[in-house]
Amino acid sequence: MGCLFVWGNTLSETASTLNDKVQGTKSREGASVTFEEDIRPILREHCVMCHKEENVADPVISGALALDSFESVLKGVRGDTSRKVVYPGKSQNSRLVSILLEQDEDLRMPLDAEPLSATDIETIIRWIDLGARRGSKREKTGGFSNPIPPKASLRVIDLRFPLTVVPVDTGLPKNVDQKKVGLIASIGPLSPVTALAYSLDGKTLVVGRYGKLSVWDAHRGVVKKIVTNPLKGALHDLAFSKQKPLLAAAGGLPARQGQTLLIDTSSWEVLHDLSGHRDVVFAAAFSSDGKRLASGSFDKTVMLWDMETREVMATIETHSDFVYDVAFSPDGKVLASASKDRTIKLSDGINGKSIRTLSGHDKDVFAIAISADGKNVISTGMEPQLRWWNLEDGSVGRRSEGHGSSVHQVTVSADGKLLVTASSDGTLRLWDAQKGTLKQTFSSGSEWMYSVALRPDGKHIAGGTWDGLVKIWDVNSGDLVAILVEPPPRISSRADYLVLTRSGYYQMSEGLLPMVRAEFGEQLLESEAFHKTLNRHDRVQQILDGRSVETPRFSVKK
Amino acid sequence: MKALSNNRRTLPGSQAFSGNEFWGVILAWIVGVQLVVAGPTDITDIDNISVFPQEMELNRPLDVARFLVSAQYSDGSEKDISSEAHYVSQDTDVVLIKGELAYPVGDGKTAIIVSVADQQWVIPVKVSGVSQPLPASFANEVVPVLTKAGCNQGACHGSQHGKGGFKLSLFGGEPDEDYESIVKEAEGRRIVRSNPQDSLLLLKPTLSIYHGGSRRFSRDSHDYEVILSWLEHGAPAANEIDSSPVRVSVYPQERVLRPNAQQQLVVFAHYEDGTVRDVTQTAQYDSLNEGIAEVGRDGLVEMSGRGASAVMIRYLGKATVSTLTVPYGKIGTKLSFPSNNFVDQKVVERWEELGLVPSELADDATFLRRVFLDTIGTLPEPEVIRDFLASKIPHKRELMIDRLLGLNQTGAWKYQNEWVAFWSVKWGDLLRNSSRKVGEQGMWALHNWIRESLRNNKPVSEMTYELLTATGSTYSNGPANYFRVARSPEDLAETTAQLFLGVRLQCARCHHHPFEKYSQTDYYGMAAFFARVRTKGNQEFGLFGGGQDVYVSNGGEVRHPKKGQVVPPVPLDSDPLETSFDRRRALASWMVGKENVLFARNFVNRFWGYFMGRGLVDPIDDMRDTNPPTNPELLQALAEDFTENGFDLKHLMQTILRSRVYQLSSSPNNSNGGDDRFFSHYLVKRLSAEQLLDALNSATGAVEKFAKLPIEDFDRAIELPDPSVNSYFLQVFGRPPRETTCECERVAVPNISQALHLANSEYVNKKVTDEKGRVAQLISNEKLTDKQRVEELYLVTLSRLPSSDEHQLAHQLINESPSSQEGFQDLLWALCNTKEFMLNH
Repeated sequence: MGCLFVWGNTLSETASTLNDKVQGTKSREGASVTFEEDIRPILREHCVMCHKEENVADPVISGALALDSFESVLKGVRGDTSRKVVYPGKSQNSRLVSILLEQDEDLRMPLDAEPLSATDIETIIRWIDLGARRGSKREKTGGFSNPIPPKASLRVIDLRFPLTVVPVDTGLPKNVDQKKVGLIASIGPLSPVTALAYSLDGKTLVVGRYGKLSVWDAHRGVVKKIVTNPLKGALHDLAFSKQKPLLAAAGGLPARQGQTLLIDTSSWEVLHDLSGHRDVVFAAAFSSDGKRLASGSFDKTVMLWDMETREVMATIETHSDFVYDVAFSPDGKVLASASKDRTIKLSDGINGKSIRTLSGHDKDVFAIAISADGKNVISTGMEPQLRWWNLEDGSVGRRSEGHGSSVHQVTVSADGKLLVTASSDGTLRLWDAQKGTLKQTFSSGSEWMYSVALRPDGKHIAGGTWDGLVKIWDVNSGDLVAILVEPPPRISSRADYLVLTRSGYYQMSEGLLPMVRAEFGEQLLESEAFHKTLNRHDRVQQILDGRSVETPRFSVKK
Repeated sequence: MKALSNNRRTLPGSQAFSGNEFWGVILAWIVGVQLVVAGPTDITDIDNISVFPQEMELNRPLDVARFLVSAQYSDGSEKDISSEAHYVSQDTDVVLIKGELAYPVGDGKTAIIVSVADQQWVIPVKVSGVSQPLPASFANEVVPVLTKAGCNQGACHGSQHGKGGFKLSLFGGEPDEDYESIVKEAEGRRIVRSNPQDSLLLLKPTLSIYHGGSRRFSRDSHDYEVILSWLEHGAPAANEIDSSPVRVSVYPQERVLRPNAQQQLVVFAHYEDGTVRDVTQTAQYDSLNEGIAEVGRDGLVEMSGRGASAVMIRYLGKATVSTLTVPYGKIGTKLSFPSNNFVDQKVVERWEELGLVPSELADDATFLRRVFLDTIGTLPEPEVIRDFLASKIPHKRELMIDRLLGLNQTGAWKYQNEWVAFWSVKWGDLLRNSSRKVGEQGMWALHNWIRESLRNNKPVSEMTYELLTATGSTYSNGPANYFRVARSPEDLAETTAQLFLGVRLQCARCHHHPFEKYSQTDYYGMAAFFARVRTKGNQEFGLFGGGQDVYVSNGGEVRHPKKGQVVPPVPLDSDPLETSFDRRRALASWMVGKENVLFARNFVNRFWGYFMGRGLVDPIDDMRDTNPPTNPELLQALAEDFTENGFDLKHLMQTILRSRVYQLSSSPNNSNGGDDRFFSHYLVKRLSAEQLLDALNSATGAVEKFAKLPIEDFDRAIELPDPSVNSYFLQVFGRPPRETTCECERVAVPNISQALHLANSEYVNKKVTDEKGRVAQLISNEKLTDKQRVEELYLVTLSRLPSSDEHQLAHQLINESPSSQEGFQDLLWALCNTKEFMLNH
């Protein structure tokens, strides 16, 4: 029986393949063939490796021909005398076809590869003969919304947060009274916190991550607003304008597009979309007069935008690898950019012309800042020390040691007196911006810190971690004050949140209550009673205000 | 196989095959083409059918296990008939079947019924860890996928600086670093834990978006599913539960197949806790002889020629091989091959397994020329040839071997100088003795030590011990130069491993050896033996004499380059040694000790290669598990014999030379022409540069004067101590510069310069026309007839007498020449340009 079954299969398969071939040619007669639907996938698979915009400047690779977009294909071979490769309606005159049919293997495309299948070539011929139409443009970000049904379903991971609580009346002998009390929240995994910023008045803390911008009331510890998918992909940087009620939110889809959004800081609506980068925007900065914005991208370029017209004023293409950070000098005349190419480039803040390259780093430069007096660029990165470069002559004055591994962000405080840094050694650090000395280290756990923000009043410092937490320390005492937790959008699209404090009290949005349980050791506790004692807005408020609160006592006995 | 009898059931009747053929005909008729259908296996000839594995355990949700059903024929060959068998799961809530593959569905126990022809097997299956799955392991499941897809190879993200800003460790050697690159670098750009399918890590290799490395796997592949599943679980880091496998195994390990057969391999990873996983999907495969076996990404081997080929299998830094053979002829036939010694017995056994029929014995003249060149690098003298050919003594070949080696001699050893000189060249190559490296005096010191050691037939173990533990002046103590040729602990570790163990350790300096078990820890464990060796200038030959003293300092360690820890001295494949002040003594004692089998295997393999034209392991200094010997039993027997006889080189030489295998003709017969590794006929080799120059000089009667060396003592190329002695001829014919320890430095590849130099150069012309040379001597000797002169020329060049046809041609040439002198010169020139002259055949 088994063999019969196998043969039956083969038979029907063969028959259907034959059918396809016969019908395929017929049905194509009337069917429309368009670039976006039919041609682009063929070119992407076989040609775009070499023939892409990025390579046009290098004729050795691309022959000055790009095939990665409809426009590129129609432009043909670039240069003094541009040569078209496609003549709509005339496939027999189109080089795009003849080069695929070339007999000489050394000339035929794709080079050093199997020739295209007859079906593919036929499709290209038909497309040209039918007028080389573009067709409806598909999702520009190919792959983003084309999921296959996954076999394993996305799992919700339990996150555990220990609480500082004194358990009493456990009903257990004293010597086993060591069991830990904690919360289990079924909301993991969280997306990394990749951007953080306090508003100028310090009342708002904005938190950016993949697919989500959240706006926190920095004093009350509640989420005021959630913007889901302001742009596609992760938010890598957030910056408030000093002049206008504007927030710049930068990010994008890796290896596809980069955007900087301008967001109104009262309605939190997206006002404008500065698009153009071909990879994520990793850093955005306003000039201090608010008239310009610089965006640095993994597409290796920095773009300088006019905030009036929102047009590109200049594109800086001097970096040879990812651009990680950008910073304006206080007078706006100099724009500094840091890159994986191990350099810092200083460019004219208006026209983008190159001024100087600061080289000396042996590894990636992740972060830069310019001092308030405009005299120094402070740089750091994979080599964790901070270097003070003289903006005038490019010499390195001071080097400050402290972090144990890569530093991802360095920011100057609002008053210009302090520097704050975030590092993959799991710490935030506070530095004297004039002397370069380390003033304080904030540490809790070892998870990578990607982002840091200092509240303008100098009382709180916030850090964003890889495992998706925002940690807030009291700058004066050096104590960890609170941890801000938000479930990912797929679990809750409402403005849900959970705030844990070092004193054991916490608060959370109503919507999150069902997802949070309490445990004592390995034993689950009756949640309602537990929350009643510990889920206390008033206490959390006191703690965020810097007042001390007694450690809560909780009776475990049922 | 034990379980077989319990599980085996016989079903009455067999209905499948008649229907099968019927449909084949119908199908061919419908599509209107002649289909080549792999028909059902002919069962008349089958002795036995076996199913592998006999039980199955699946404990990860993405595990796939594979069945192999094999038919054993009466001639000893086997066939993979897995695709003809029928598999039925008894409980599809536990395990599902697709083709020959079993997929776990839910925890539980059940059985799979495997049936083929009229037989049935019940294979118990246990599935666990699937209903409550653990996350896919980054180190154990994700990294192997990246490795197999080629992401972390040297040309791509595994290169020193990565590619496109994304760097992975070479071949996944450092999973912790890879985890950070993938998960945390660039603010987590490469993965999206909340939307896994949008991760760059999946979009790029599936070419859903532009990827410079093209498509590495598709979205419906197992590879994709493994990575997706890991991401779905939140992309957990490597942790304690991810033990890496302790070894990998393959089934079948060896198998005899019929021509053009296909054979699926099944690969298992074995873990410390006893768990075994089928990793056929993610293991990597390389055929070591593509002309015989080709292997695909999925481990399906296709036999494309006759002979035996190993397929190398790699998985997570562990490697093994499967040896697949298609016999050259009918197998299992007893050969009537008279054995001279154990070498012959072992070789014959291998031939019988392979269906090889050996060539005839080489004739006496060929044997004589061969054994002269192989032992003393010199052509036999005409009178020796005549005597040997005329001799009727039955054991004349054995006697000749002993004469050449100076064994069992009553009088003086006639060929001592040549023997010592010839093997000094080889040892000079191996030890890289060169004045460029150790200075003129150092070079002489080492050269004289080599010569003296050979003259006394010093056991190789003693030579090794002296080299490895040498101290003192490099100008007066030859072996001390070992520590000047290679100077750093790393170089010394590499040289020592390659020279004495035949192990190429170099790769493990920077990363886990890709084809070997050796890690960086193993590498630096070897280097640690040399961490305390120092040199300082001495004034033995004056202030500026340049002499060096090698000594052992009381401190010094090597550190693991990545972990930064001090690595203690541990020899390869061994436990740590007790070391005293001079760690090298412990190493040297271990090296030549009984436990270290690599030492003897290395030397017997090298000498087998020198004599037979190819090592049992080849390249002869690349011994590793993944480069198996073509005759393991012979290698083992030779190594044991060498060890038992006190590492006596002459004994080893005598053993190989006396074997009948060594004395076979190089002309293949009808069946063994394709064999180039089982020694069923002699493998011709070009004379080495030194042999050829000396042969040319002795044939033409010219005298060679080498620059800067007195002609009385150094008129032979095999006597030269140093590659810096200038000679265009030697250079063109591949004399090694002694820069590396690799035997590959001596090249025998022909090139156009060689041909032109022999045919056209003034250098060779001068020798042929030398006024005191061969032709001049022959002509001035008026007692000789032209016929005798021709004979003489054949003897000094080709070491044999001319045939009557050759006599005739020679006379014609001489008669047509302007003078008989020119005629003989032309004949000599022509003979020196024959292949027969240039080859040891």
